[in-house]
Amino acid sequence: MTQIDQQGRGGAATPPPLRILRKAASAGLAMMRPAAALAVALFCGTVLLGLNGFDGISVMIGMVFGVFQDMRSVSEVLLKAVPLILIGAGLCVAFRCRMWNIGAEGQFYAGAVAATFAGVSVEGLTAWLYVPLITLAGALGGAFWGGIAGYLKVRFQASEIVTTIMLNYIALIATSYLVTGPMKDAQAAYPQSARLFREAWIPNLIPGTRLHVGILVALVLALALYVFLYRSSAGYAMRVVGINPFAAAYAGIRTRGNMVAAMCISGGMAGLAGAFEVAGVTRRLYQSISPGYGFEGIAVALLAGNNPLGAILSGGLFAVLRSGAELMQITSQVPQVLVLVIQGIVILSVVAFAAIRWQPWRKG
Amino acid sequence: MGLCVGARAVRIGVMPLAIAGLLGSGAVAWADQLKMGLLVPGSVSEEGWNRIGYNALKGVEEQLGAEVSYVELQQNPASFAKAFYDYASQGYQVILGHGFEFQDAALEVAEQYPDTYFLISSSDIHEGNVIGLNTDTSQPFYLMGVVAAKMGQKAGLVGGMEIPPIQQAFEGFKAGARSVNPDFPISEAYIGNFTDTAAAKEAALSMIAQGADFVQPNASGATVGGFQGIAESGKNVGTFSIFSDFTEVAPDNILGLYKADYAQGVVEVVRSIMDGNPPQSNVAFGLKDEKVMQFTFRDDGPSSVPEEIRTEIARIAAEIAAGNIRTMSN
Repeated sequence: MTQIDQQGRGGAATPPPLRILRKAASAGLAMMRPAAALAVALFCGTVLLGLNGFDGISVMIGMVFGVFQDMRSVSEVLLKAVPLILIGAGLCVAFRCRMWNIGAEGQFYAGAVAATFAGVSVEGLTAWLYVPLITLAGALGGAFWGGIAGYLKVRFQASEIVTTIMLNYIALIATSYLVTGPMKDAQAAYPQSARLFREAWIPNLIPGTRLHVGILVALVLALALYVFLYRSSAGYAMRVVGINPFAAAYAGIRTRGNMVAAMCISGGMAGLAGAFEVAGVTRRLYQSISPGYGFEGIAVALLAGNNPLGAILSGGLFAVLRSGAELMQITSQVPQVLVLVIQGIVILSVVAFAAIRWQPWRKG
Repeated sequence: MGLCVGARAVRIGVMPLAIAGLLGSGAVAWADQLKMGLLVPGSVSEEGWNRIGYNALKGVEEQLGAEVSYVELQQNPASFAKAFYDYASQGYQVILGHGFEFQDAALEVAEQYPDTYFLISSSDIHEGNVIGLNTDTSQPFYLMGVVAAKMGQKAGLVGGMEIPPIQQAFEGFKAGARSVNPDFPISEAYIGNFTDTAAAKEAALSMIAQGADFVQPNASGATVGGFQGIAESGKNVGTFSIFSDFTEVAPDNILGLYKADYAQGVVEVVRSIMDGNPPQSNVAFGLKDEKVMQFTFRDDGPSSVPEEIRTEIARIAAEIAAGNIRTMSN
């Protein structure tokens, strides 16, 4: 396989030191917009809190200090970051290939179901075998669910936006059916699956906290996806399909295969997140296993500018906000609905700033 | 922009104060002041299950002078343990997990906080410092079932999620109705959540369309949707207001009111913990606990329950309280 120069738009002619400088500058600029988006959102949130009779500034400060209060609160943030980074980084790949995968939520559920199925059915394995088995099951489950939408797109030109949204509902309702029916714990009356075998639990990273090794996997995979997208010919081909599928086809790139592959990769990442959630956190499958990670992952990818490395930062940021939102309630008694409004403002602001950035790129 | 900078300056200025505040509150945790936390699975601003938990917390605050705090979690199991940890690590002595779904997380956290009491609503557990509190809702629903079978032709039950507290209530209803007429037709539907008022309304309407003349919704926040459907179907459909007073929603249909003052029950349990006599088993409130459970009829509505049925209900309620009538199979 020949290595294709992928330094980007006309960068090859610039001398290396200048190129590095320019890269650093553009990276700095790329960080500016999310920071501005966040600042605007937090400011609006503070004003909103003030209008509702809270001391907005001290609530916000209390939230930030609470989130970074001690080892345990930091570990909780990282725990929340695991699914957000995994889903966000995966979606970066799909979005780079111009596959608007809105179905990460459903793919998360598909992965969670597959992992649970593997985690409650095979007895007598060692942890060394079992943990890889269920993470693989979760990733395959999610990849399969994402792949369906990819196949429908290339075979019937069915809009992946519509099919992934519909597949979300199917996954959610199927999960509800499974935990109230076939997969329901025989001993519990509450709709939940049996507890996963202890050998299937994702090992803890820091004793005394709930943080598991999934965070390391998430970081490594985000890095791997970055390398794949920007340092491999296969990733390059995938990006070309995203920029212009006709040009890609003309250049001999398999557009259909790449589209399905992009959906499978992002679905697999979401499925893996689902597996980690079940095997690393809840140990059981529930009807409402995801609090909307799949949708928040879209905002993570947007804020990251569809760069898997950026998804680490933006995923971490959304985890801080999510953790802080819960804390905001506990320490300041801000009602949940108001917390949800503030979270919504953050996402809206992020999307608005992302749209501003995309405008020239679309014209160009 | 100027406003933005100003706000930032203020924010930085306030920071040291906030740090001092945080440190201060950490020290208070060791004083004798009772601190109680509450975990609810939804919003307390709606009438329903979550409000009951909130009222319990307010009762403890007012009657026992406790410092209280609550957190609304969105049926998201992963966040349950964190919320327990957050409270326990901040020195809260009593934490109420308002719902059976909190039990697993409480057991997990309780291992690390042996001096904290974890109360779990709708649970029969008793393991060390994790204590289940239950309201036997099948008892008042048994009474409703008797009323429905004595006054109507067919009944419908609209539930939220298919979980024990709802199932047990409906089991009580069916047992009550069938104690009057073993062949009394009852249809039952679950909307699958506790928030979709539109679905609850649709379910009620379709049951009425199929001939039900007594419909009982029981779906926490979505219950009100059921009452709306009943109210739109005219005066011939009866129902009971449950947990909160919904008379305004269905003024022509509500025959009576079942009210569980779970709050008072929780206050008594917390008081006993403060006094050093924590419950030695799980706690189950029923019609025997008159402070907690009230079942009353309404007199100002267009149709009301006849006197002889009321007398009969009073007799049955006394039998249930005495333990002579079982309202559930187990």
